[in-house]
Amino acid sequence: MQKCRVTHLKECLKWVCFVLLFLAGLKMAVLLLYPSNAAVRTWQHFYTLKRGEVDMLVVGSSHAYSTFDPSVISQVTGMDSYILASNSQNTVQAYFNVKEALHYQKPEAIILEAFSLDNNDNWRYGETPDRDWKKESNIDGMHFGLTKLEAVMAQYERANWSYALLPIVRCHSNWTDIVTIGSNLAFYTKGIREYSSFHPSETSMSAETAALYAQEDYNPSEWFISDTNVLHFHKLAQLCREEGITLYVVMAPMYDVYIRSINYDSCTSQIAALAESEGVFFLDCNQYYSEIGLTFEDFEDVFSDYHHLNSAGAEKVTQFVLETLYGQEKD
Amino acid sequence: MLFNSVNFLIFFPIVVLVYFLIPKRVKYLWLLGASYYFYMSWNPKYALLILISTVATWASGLFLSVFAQQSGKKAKRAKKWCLAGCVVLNLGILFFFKYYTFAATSIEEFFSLFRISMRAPVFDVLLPVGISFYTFQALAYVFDVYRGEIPAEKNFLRYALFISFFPQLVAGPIERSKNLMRQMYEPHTFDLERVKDGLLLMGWGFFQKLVIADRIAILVTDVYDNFSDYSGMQILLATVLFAFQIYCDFGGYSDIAVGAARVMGFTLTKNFKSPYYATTVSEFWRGWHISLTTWFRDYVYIPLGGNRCGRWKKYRNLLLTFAVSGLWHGAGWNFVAWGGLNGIYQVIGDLTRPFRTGLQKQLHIRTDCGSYHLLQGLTTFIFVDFAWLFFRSNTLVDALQMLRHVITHPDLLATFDPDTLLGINTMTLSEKDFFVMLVSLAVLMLVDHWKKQKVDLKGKLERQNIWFRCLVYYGLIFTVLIFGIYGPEYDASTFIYFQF
Repeated sequence: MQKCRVTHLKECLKWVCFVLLFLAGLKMAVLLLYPSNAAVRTWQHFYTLKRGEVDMLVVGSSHAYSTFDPSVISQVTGMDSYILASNSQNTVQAYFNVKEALHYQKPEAIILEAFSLDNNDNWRYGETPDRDWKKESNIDGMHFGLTKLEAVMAQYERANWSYALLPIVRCHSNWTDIVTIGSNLAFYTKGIREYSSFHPSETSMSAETAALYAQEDYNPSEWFISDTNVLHFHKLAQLCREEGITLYVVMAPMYDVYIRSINYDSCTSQIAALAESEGVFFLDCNQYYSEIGLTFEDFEDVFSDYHHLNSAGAEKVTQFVLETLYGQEKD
Repeated sequence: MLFNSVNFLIFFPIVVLVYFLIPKRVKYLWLLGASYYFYMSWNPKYALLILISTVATWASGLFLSVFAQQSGKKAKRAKKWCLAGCVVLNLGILFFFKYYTFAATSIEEFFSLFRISMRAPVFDVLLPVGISFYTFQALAYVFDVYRGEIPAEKNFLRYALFISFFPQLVAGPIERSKNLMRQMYEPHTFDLERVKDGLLLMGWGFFQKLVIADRIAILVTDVYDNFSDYSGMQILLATVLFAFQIYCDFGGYSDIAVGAARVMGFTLTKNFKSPYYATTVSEFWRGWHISLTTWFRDYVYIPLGGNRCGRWKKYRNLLLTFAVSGLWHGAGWNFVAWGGLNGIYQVIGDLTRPFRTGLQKQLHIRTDCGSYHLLQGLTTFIFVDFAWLFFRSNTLVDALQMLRHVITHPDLLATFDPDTLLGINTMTLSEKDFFVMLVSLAVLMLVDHWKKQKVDLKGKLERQNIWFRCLVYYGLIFTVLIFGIYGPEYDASTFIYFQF
């Protein structure tokens, strides 16, 4: 009897080892074959941070990661911050990002970049199918757990759940892509610690080109705040309240010729009303160009394109936002 | 639900786990539920057809057994009518869903030759997955009961499981009730060795399907859909590769099916026995889709008289059986041509045997050496592969046009490309993919060679050290995971035989 039990135990152990080794191999395969992207890197770096290291978390789209400079945040407030933003991240993704981040960090404040309330169902630069790589890469970066499952279930059709949860299904064919494998190897061997979640952009267009985006050919759709984004904004606000975290909503500056061509005012009023309903402070940087020091005569000095700031603009805006938020708190 | 879908990878472990945890008396009910769920994942409406077929054949079985106990002419006649009714119903459903459009179009085209315009009513119906397989399995049961070879099954749910058992439901092997029904009553307890065996076989099946068949499919599909863009030699290369595609596609499916059933304790019929090592066409057919070949042998060829009714009648039976077998594969004249060709090969082979034997003696050709077997094997492969061209073509006309194109545009040089590493024009496949395909084919043929030599591969593997075994297991798993053709962007080429 005893001998039989030992044999069973040994057999079970063998299987457990086999499965563990398989999972390790699978993880390694994904790490090597997964096409490098900022969203996944941002998560990977986030997980290497020590617990309690982050005092302020910034979530949102590219507007967030190109606007908020952690070094300026640190200078102004003395807080360590992390930008958990990704391309076209909407409020649904932002909510789940915060939820996941709270398993590892206990920030005092969270900034939600307000543009994320817009780009959900109507991403401006084309259709956003259920399997949008931007959404996918943000979810791929998350560790496997209940939050990830919840995020997948909230953002994907049932038929795509398995694809969303198993990146190997999507990236296995990259075995032919030596560049991806090489860059992944380089990142894991030396780059992971030096990664920055802030991505200052270089100026890529002139004011004249930026102004073209205000024209009909370039700017076909209006902003739209979807119900799912609103719902998840309320969830985010509630989560922050429960965790004792101060939530701020900040709209990063955009080129004013462009925003004057869309339904900007009605959208920002909606955002302001939303924020007010949750008792959250909303700061629209587009109302404070002169205070920030943004000059449209010298577009290239502060803007990267009609939507994003460059590093110099980011420095100015981060300083202004943090001084306003914390000045407002003191007041 | 495809075997090569993530859904199946979730479905199967759950089914197996629950199967071994629940009490013995409800195991078959669980499997029945799982099988219907599996089938209904394609289209829930299809379940109705399989249910009709199940009810009809089960009830016919019961009636036949009742009539069998009675004596007299009336009982005999009733038995025959019962069988005929059941066959007509089942084949009628099969005909309507699979052959109606083909038959209607063929009749219309025939009459149009005489300038007679005829319009048959059009029914927009989808071909239910696996209908040919389960219909044949159900009919085999009725035939066996009719012949008194097996007793009729009284438990309807067990019988329903026999028809719908999910590993072999949609593409076989076409099981006989003598083999599978008996197993529905056996207690299947968890046996680690058997589970390991089953999983290994499934892994090998996935390797064949995802790494080889679906990789070749990329090339073959493009060549066959746009054959005029390719040279004759390239079409021939694609046709050679198609022989392996269909083998790995169907053989892979069969291995996954047999492996999945084995995990749960069931033993299914072996469907392939190293067919491309066959040295004659009839030997090829003894190793290709064995469950179907034996079905046609037992229920068509032998009832027609088999080979015990004189030479010419034997040839007639052979040609008829193969033509019907071709039609079973698909509603198209190209399938009939494919079946017919395979029948003709065997008739010619039989007719010329004395001449060939005489020639061998006259020319002192040694027949007991490897070179002779190699030549025989190659010749057989060429014949079989030539027939595959008809099978793979979209229509008979396409096949004939393709053959003309092969002859008129041979362009041998187009097959080579000095700029590539292998020196071969890999067409739509990337060089790396082509290389993986060649290596995988070499592995496949090596394994098939060992199987042909009756080498106990599993036994040999079991006797190896654990590190070596793990290397083989992980090697297989990761080869499939990394080199397999699958994923959301990939248009899941369903198993070729599903359409039959």
